[in-house]
Amino acid sequence: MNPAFRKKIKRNDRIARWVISVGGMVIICSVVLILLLIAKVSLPLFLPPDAQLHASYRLESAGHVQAIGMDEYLETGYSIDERGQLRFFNIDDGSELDRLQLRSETGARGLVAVETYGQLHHSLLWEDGSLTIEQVKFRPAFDEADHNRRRIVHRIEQLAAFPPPATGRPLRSLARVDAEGRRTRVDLIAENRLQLQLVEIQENFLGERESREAHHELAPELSGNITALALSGNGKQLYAGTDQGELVRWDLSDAQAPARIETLQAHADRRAITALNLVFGDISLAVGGADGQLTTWFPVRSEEGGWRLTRIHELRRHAGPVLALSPSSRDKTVISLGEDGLHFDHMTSERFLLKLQPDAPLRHYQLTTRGDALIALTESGQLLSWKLRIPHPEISLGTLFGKVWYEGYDAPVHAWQSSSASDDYEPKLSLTPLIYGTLKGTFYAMLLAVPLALFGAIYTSQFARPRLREMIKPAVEIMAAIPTVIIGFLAALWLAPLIERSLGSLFLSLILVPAALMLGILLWQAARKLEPLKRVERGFEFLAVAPVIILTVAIAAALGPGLENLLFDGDLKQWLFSELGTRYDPRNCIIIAFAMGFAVIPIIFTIAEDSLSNVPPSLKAASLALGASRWQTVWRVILPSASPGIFAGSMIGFGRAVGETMIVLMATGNTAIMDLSIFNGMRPLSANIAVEIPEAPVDGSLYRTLFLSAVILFVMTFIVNTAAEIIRQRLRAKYGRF
Amino acid sequence: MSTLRINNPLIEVENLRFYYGAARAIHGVDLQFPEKQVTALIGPSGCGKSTLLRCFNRMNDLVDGSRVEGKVLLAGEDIYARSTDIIELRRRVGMVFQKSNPFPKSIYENVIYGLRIGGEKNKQLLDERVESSLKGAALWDEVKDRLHENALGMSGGQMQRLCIARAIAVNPRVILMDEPCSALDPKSTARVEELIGELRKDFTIIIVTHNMQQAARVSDYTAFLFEGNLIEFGQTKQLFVTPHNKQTEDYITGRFG
Amino acid sequence: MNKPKEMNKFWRVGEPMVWVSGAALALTLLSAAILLIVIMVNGLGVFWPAELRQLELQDGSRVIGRLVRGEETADGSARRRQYKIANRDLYGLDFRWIDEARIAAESAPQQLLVLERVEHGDFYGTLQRIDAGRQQPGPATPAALQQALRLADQDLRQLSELEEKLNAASYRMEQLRLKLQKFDYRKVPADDPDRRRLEADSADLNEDFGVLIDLQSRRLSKARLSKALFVEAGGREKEIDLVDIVQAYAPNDMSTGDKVLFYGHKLVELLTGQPRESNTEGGLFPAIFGTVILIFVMSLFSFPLGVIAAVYLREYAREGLLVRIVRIAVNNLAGIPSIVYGIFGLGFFVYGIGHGIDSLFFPERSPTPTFGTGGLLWASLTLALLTVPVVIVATEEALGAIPREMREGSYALGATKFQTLYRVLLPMASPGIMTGLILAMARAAGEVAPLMITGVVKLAPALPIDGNFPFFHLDRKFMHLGFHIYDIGFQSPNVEAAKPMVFVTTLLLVLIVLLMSSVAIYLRNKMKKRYTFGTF
Repeated sequence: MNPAFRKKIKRNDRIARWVISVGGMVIICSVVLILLLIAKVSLPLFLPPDAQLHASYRLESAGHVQAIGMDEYLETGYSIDERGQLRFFNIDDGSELDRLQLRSETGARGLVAVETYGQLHHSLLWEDGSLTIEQVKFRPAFDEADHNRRRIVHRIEQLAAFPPPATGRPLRSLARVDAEGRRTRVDLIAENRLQLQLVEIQENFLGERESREAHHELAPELSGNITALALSGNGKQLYAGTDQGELVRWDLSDAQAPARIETLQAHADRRAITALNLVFGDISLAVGGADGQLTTWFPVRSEEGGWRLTRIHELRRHAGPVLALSPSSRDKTVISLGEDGLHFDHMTSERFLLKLQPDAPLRHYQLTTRGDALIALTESGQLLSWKLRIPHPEISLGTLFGKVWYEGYDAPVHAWQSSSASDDYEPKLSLTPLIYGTLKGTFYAMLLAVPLALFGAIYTSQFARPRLREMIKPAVEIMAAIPTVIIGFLAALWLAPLIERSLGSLFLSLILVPAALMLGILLWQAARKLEPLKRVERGFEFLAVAPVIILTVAIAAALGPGLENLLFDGDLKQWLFSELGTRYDPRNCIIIAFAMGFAVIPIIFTIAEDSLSNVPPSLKAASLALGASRWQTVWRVILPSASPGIFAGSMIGFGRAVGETMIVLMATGNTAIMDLSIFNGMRPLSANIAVEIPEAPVDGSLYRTLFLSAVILFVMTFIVNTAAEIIRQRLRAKYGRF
Repeated sequence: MSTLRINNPLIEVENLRFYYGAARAIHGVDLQFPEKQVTALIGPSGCGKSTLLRCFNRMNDLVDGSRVEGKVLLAGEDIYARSTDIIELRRRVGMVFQKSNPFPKSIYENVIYGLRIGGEKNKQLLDERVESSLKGAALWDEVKDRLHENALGMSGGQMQRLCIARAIAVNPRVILMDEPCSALDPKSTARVEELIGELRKDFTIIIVTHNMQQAARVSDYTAFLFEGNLIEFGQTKQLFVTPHNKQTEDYITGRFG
Repeated sequence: MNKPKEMNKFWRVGEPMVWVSGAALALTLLSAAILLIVIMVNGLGVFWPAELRQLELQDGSRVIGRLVRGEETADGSARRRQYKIANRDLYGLDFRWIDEARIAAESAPQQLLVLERVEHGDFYGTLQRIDAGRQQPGPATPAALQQALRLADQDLRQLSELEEKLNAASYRMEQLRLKLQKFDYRKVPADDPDRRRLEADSADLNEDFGVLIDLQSRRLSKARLSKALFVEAGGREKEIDLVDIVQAYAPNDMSTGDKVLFYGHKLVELLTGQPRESNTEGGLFPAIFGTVILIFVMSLFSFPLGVIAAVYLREYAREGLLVRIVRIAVNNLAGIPSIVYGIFGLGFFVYGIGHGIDSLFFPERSPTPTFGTGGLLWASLTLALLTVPVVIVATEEALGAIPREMREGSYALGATKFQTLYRVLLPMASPGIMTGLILAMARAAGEVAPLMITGVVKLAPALPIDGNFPFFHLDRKFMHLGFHIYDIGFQSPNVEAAKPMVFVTTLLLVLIVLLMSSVAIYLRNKMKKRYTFGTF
């Protein structure tokens, strides 16, 4: 051989070895890495939140500061001091950017107290008792002259002003103004009395706007002194807590007649309520106690018919009394201040997110509107700012799999409801109903598919004529190739209406077909004596049975409506509802059983048939030679030897049913209910992913939860398939095929 | 232990030991194969005769975990030396297998396979070589009209002779035959044996066989192996008539094996 | 005496169970047959120009419609029939149930016309007058109508030529805009000569575009002058622009031969035409094209990757625990739900790699995504991943089925491993590899769930291949037959009217998939026979 050529082919061989080995490894690794990658997307759901100290320095004249705040870009901070000065400063170093003087309408300069709520709204109580509501607003601006550099522009807007009350300076004041301009002021004056000032803007019949003012005094009968007050953002819900652990709720929505809804003992041991605030959405109330206990409450429909404030969640306890409570303005996170520092808790998931514990006690703190940064001022005048990373506070293993008591619900539930029109809506992302739906659909499909496929496979491999078998096997394999979108479409648009129309006939044929089979077999007893007919028993039985089945189904279809008339007043569905309380969904588990069963049968059939055919013929011959009948041989000899293969086939079929998407997407109602009834639909994991993922914001909680459900699907099928595959490999080793 | 020395041996085996993983299958064999003679390797199943044969063209390299110690010299060069080109070696040492294994290609393509992979493109030369090889394998007359038909359509004996033609087409010095007739009917066997007689004119042949009559019929020299050891080596006539060794005698008289 | 004994034996030896298992098989095969029959019956009849019936009802009103089906009323006392009455723009409904008792007379007048329209579905009625604009109003005969329609068709063809020019111009404008955007992004100064030239080009194009638009609107308004007046069953008149009529025919006046011709014509339209009426009418060409391209691009990835992986596993990797685990994993991957692959494709290809490409190569277009959104490439890659295990398993089995002697024979002649592979093993395994590839393609043709989240759309504005550089637009969204079924069957506003089209699409898809899998199964069986030599 030519040495040059030899060199060439050797070089080619080496190159090929490299390319194939590297390529093969890479491909196989990358395919195996799929799970890791989807798991990686869902992993941040469970990562603990963290806080990073951004800046820390002494704030000048910190001793006089009444409130602080910060923009959401972590660039500009501000402080309001007791002389009404609003000072903007650079968050990084505290250098002053701007200084404004705030004034009350009466001209008072001294500021007594500041209460912060909503999106950097401050209600300022002046020394003469007058009150203003100011909102600090930030927005980015781009300076064209300076290479489009971003600057943060700040602006102050006075939203409302209230004159001083006649009784002089109150002990505490709360004020709100809502989007329609309705203004509410609540003053706590001595002896547990609350003064109410309500100003409503109304349009009269001439179209002029006029304001109507109402004053009320609320004097609840309480055993203790009011220690905490909370007012909803629109000023219509007022709550008060006392040092005896009592909780009072008023409804202020009717300006003429504010009503006390209820008074209840929140703490049975008469522990003082030290802090109150409303959670984002203004439905739930967070209650902090003197012993550091932190609970949230919202009204739940009671048995008597009214709505009663009920204790729902308990959050992480503080070591000492809860000093202050504030909501996040993005989600249901509650921030609570105790002597041991700041706690971040998510209300619904009851997840303790984060603890910030500066060296000195905190005097003021404020979360940015986006909820990703916090500014705080300590007693010692140190200004601190943190960057917070709390990506998915509402997700915990509890909310994903356990029952959760969502706001506005009567009881804890498993619920999947990912979106709604309103902003303060809380997504309900429980995977339990979806897993339940997946398993339910799979169960009904397997219920139909396994017996049909197994008996069919037994017949094909053991009894059918070889010539017929060579036709049946490819036919079933082709059946496996029918796209599931087609099966789903037919199930939904053809089968579902058909079954809805003839439900009675369906049930009738469930009884009639076995009965007709029995009858047929009995008649056959007589007929098989005739020699030409006996030939049917040599592998043509299934052809002989087919007309019996078709005929019986036709009879059932004809008799069905009459039977429904006779037994169920003409409408089986109505009867089901009124007698059994079962709602009939047109797209239900019967449809799924048929459609998904149809999709799964060929898979189970093929694998089971293969393993049955692979049982060595000598076994069969031995059994038959000992005088066993053909069925006894199958039942006692062949089935046991083929059982691993049959099991593997069923497992693979199960895996396929679990992951099937298009059929369930089209042929179920996609309602996430947990109900075993065969007349209901469900919402399985796979269809849920297909429906929701196009709308899910990238890297949001929903997006990651959907990836998590993909991981669950993956793991479910992976376990099942691996088990089946190992069994199959054993079988192959045993019978020496491949 | 026989100590027959051959003049000008083509293949010399010196203290060859062969391991499958930790198990030793050949325990130090010394042998010399004369050029242009037929040497038969005989012995009971599992005695290592096929393994020994496969050491001569390094087919055992394909077995995972196998290891060779000792030397095999082909025309004075150690085939287990680092510098040995395994491809060149296999072109010089052809092989015919127990089970005939023509490729699912035409008869023509089967014969020239070795030349093709060696980079030969000259059509005329290929045609000539096909004819000479098939003639050499006594197959030409049977297949000359259907050279481009699939080889899998031939009879078992024809396929085995095709494999021989395929082996001699690359002009090797040695042909190894691993029980070439064990899957053939007596008539085909006779033809192949006849062919071996023809081939000894041009090639050095080493044949492994189970069948002592066959060894006696076709070979000039015979080596008897037992449990990985060379028991006796000598001229076939001498070995079958007057074996030196008791074990050899027992084996060839059919007392075991 | 004898009889019960024999009976007992019959039961005891389990003979009835044989019958029961036979029944199970019969049920399975029957259900498959029913599925195919339903698809055939519903799909094949769609284009047949069935007779139009004119009904006189008891109350004196008249209805023109096509019989869809008849059934018993809910209480079982009488029968009613469903007719397709079309004229959606006039009646609001396409279908109407009529009790048989209410029908006074029924006929099939020859002059009844079916108009297929660009909008609002079909129109059933009679011709009243032709107002052909250019010519004198002629006689209202079917022949005259066809003549006028042919003229209108010429107008339409001219218009569509214009449309093509417009599309090309707007594509160029878009490209120029993107280039300018890139200049903006790179802060190329306004007086840069390249930029000036581009801006001048852009202005020229804009001008051309304006001229074309102008021409188009003039031509269109001229074409719209040709109208015809029709009368529906109740006597209401409806004037329709001829350019809005796709086709007019009188089914009651057609011979069987005409009908067959018409049917063939409709089939051609189905395969080559564009969809109309939110996909419920017209052709399937973009969906067929999208499916084919998708399968093609997918095969481009999954075929070599699958074969290389299988060759590695079977020929190069050292047999051991690791390889066994990998083999289990690969077999396993074939069973992983397609939606999981879909979500992986979305997370990894679209949002991972796609966003990466966008921020590297197209930063000026952000936040408008180019590759960072679903598209043909990502869908193909996702499907390739999904089908790679199929190819690997098939190739491995085919390689494994080749007897060891083949390899030894080749090595013994001095062949290298690679020579053995590509001269002996791969040719021998090719039917098996083809089987795997075809099965993979059939799977890809029917798979919808992963596509839904990686780039399939109900109506793609442009095909993934066109005459504009670089001709192959892998970033484009595409249409797909399987998704088409889901979309028009479940997302269209008028499901009842969409049904015929769904069935036709289903029939087409079933035929494609069945054909492919039959070929694969045939190949595999042939291979089994061919290589069973020598294995005793």
